[in-house]
Amino acid sequence: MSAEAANARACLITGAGIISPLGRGLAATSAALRQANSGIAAIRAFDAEGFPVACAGEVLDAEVPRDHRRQETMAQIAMAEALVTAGLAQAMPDLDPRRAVSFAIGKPTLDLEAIARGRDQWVASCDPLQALRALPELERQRRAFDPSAVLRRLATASGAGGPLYSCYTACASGNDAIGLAKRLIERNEADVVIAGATDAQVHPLSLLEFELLSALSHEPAASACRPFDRERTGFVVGEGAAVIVLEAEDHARARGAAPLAQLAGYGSSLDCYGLTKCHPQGRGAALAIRGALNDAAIAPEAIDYLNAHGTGTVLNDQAEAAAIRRVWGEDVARLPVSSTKAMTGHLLTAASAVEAVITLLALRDGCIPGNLNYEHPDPECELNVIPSPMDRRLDIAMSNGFGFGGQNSSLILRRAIH
Amino acid sequence: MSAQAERRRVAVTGLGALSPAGAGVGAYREWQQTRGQRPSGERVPEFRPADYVRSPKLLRSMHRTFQLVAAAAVLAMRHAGLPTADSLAGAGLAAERAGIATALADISPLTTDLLQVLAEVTSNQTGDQTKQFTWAQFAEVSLHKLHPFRRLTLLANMAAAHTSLLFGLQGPSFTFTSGAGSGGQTLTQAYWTITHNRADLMLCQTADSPEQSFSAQPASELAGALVVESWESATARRAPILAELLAPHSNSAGEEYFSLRQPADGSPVCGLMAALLRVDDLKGTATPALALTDLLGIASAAA
Repeated sequence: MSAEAANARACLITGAGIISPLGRGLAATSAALRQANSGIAAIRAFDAEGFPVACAGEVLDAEVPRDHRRQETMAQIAMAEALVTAGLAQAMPDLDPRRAVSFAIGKPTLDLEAIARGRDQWVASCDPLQALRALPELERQRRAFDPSAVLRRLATASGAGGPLYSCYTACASGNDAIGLAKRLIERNEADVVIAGATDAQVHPLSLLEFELLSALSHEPAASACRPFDRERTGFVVGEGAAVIVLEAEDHARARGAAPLAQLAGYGSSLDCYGLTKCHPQGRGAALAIRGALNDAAIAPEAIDYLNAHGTGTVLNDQAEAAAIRRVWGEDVARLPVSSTKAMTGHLLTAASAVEAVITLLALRDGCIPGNLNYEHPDPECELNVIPSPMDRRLDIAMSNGFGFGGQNSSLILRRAIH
Repeated sequence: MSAQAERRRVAVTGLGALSPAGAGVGAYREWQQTRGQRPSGERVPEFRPADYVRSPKLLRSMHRTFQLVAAAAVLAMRHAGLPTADSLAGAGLAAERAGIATALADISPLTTDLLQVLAEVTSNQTGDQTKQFTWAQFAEVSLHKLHPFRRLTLLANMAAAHTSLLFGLQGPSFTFTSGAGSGGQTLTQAYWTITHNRADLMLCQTADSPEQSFSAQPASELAGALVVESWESATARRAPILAELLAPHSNSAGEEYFSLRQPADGSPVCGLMAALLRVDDLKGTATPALALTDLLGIASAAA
């Protein structure tokens, strides 16, 4: 790290908001984590009779209709809560050039029924360009809901007139959007950054795409996702959004904001191994973890809790466990680890942002979330996995996010000092 | 000495481009001068992906946009004297200190094979088409007809995965899908990642191809890549320094500016030339690739 980076402004988390299969808002999420409630259940989003995937982690909220705006609606709900907790919810008279947005937005889903209704227009050629020209509503929707358009609306709603970044690094996206926000503040490009991620992929086509990759579990909903358990068979798709307000310490202190935590470290790396499989010894994941530790200028032993990416797939969990062992060495037995995906499902683009907020709640509440369904320790994943919620004061915690293509990122959060 | 005075300098050491005028930065500059008079939706002529990506297995997993990104990256890395995965180590560069910044437009999920699936499951529809297919029927056909790796072809960050595999890059990786501003964002991140000593080399890359564009009026094909590198790394390995990249900054309108300086005499040759919109150009003419390749044109003029 350069002297300039070492002297960079500290980044405080002054606001947070969340909506996920565990509920809407910090309070509901905190309660669900403490009670070890699972948000995974039979699919309600569409008629799944005879469909090869039976369960998902859905957001059940009357204010989140199941339409093509769904992921943006969830992002706006999470952002509104984050701005309220930060004390920044009042409308800005003008967009503030010192406020920025760094966000990860999931893949827009297609209205397959509308395309099917217009089949006469494209069926002769099955040419996507011809279909787009024949069905202008499709392109109108695309233009209205592509990531840069959603980003602009989030900026307007949050009063941000500064840089707008749309990050996409698959399932590491949320961590990377938050990590980038940290960099924007450190280099004095912004005082406040609205950072987060959203995704709504409980959709027949998306589920089939993961089914084609043999990545999904087919076990009964209650035990479908079993991160680090020897009997794990795959992940469950979930949906949701999470947002944090990241603020320069000098700016937050000057306005008397009460920090929820400090964002102390961020690391990113590439596996450089394969397109679908991660490096079996967790080479890239270990690089991201070490990068975050270096950024926070702390040793591995300082971490009190690690919220693992822990998808529940055989190879990913093995590789992550190997990466953790690689960094912690013999101290790994003293590091409490849990994955919350057994409760939320895998929120894909939104996963690591949601888990960053869950990690924040663990620090705030002094409660390590449980790794549900962990019943059979796997010798290939030898970690100190915490199966049920555990009360413990936590000072520093890490959250991992890894994605297809060997994309790895880690965040470190530190308990706030008031 | 102040922290700013200690800031690491950043060199541009490699450029690569493909445009409707052909492969290479010279062809790109030719295209740039005439692009106002050319039709939209033009393709890169005589593009043979196997000339750039030697692994048939890797090539099979890449659609045209990803192939174009990889080709531009290969040209830029060759230009920088780092043509193969072994070159980094040979040049004294650590793989974990070499990263990637990618700019891409959102990739369309509306593909020919998906339309074929929908055509099959709706083949019994008649007249008013009130009979709807079931999701179970859709699943049955999809699981046979869609490519098993379909999901991966839709993820913008896979461009970084391909380039990582081609050149052994394991450092920080960012992928931006922010519209036309994405091209400039790659350079901004690359600049700061190097000056803050989190990497020694960053490969900035981008491409647009009508085939993966979710638009009825797609832009022309374009791909560009720049290799930016810490000054000490470039000089230590005696790389050709094409220009120095100075600190990017933005004005109150959110436009981002880059300055490039000729290395020989240190005088600013381009000044504040590259104004990049942060958000989509509503006229639909600006794309992430266009923004980054515009910079590339400026860098090649400075070189």
